[in-house]
Amino acid sequence: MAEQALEGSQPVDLTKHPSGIVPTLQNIVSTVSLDCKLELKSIALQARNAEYNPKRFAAVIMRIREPKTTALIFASGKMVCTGAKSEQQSKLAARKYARIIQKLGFPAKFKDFKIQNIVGSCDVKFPIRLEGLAYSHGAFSSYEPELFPGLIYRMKQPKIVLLIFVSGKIVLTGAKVRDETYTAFENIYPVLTEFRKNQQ
Amino acid sequence: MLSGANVEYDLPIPIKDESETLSDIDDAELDVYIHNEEEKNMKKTLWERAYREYLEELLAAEKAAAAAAGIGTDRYGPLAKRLTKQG
Repeated sequence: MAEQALEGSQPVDLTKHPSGIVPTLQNIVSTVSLDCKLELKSIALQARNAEYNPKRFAAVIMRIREPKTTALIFASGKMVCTGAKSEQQSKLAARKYARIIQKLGFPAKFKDFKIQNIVGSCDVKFPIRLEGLAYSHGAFSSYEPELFPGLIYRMKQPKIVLLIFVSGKIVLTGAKVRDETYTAFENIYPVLTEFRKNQQ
Repeated sequence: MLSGANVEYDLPIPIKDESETLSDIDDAELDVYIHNEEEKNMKKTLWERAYREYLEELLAAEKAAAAAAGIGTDRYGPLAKRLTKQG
């Protein structure tokens, strides 16, 4: 029996998330090959949800409402899908874009779908001494408060970049699978508690 | 204090190299994203007017490259590109 705790109506599996906190996935970037050359002007002129400004950017930008995402569609047939909140939604959205391209008359396939990046965020709900953390973990940390208010922490294993803010808000980016995000957070959590800022 | 109540647990997505059918996608939902013939023609007129200079620049660039390579415009292609780079 896995030990669990309740947060609202959703149990948190403490064997997997011993901190009791599960990062929320905020953005998924995925890629897929439609495996055919595309005429971007033709796509842009036929699709209501497409914009194409060839002088500015050499891809059609297409959006759908559900899942709410944006796709970049290139003449090579490669597509990038951004904005989904889960891997399944990213794939579903990419498949919808591919289907739209098919309906516009191109022999699009759906090959080599891959999750390229997962962004997660969470809040530990206590303030953090960024100076102390940066000094103690200098090999991994970059903290230039005049340039950017967050500490940039480049974790080696898993290879995830965390943004740590004095407020206790954390952003994690660079994961290819969500477990990398979860593991990175569990790795950093004891460090965050160690550098918890006591209220004056 | 625990958090993560709104997390969505998804099954891992196996990566498949083979092409997938898209036949289960709901076409009616996607039809709203596609112009009808009248809208398409109207958009074409507007787009080509908005980007007339861009289109003219494209054509002029192609002609100039072909001329520099000493090749007629009807034969513009990889060979012309190679010659242009050398010339």
